[in-house]
Amino acid sequence: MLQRKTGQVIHIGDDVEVVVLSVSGDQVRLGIEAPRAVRVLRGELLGAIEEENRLAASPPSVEGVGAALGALSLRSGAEL
Amino acid sequence: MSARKRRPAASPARGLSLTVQRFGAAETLHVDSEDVITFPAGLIGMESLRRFALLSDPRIDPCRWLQSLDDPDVSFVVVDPRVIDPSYSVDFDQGELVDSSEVLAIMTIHVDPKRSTANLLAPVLVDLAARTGRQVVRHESGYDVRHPIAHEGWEKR
Repeated sequence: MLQRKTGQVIHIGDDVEVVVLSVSGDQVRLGIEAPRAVRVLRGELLGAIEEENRLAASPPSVEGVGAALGALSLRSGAEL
Repeated sequence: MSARKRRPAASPARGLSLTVQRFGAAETLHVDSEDVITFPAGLIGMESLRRFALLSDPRIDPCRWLQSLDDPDVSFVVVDPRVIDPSYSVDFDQGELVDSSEVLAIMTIHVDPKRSTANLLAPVLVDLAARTGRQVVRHESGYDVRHPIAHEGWEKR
């Protein structure tokens, strides 16, 4: 746990920098500099993606796939 | 020889076989070694799943299976995002996409067709030549992790 004031910086590894931009009430604005290859995500967004992957991994039913394909063919028209 | 838990049989020279569940029935798949796609970081939340195969199946065309070779129970229905949104374009760095790249959206299939969605926020990027893949997150894109595939006016045929 580190305590920082507005304007102060934290270095993570060689390539990541976090700076406290502003503090207002219980909201903190953070500036983050990281290589594009390093994923920087709000925790709830990461959680949502993990959850969606988990849901998507289970086998679909015939009915579900049939309906989904129907919706897709309507989207792309005669091409399919 | 002691009893072993059934898992994909490996044949180094030719490939592997695995038994999966497809629409309530067991099917045996054969995957050539050269068709294996390696995901060094797995998928988001599933980092230990490193080996996949991208399989065509006329029953789900134009979608395909992204089948885990590490866990036969894990298979995803994937599709070219442009089938869902023809204007789909995600900001990739120069060099991130090559000629042999394919962008795939993982679909979440619901029995209720209005609830089926595609993850356009975190697509899967596959390099078919290098046989590698990873899941990327494009949170600046404005796309949704649950992008509905049905749209207004859609009706079941």
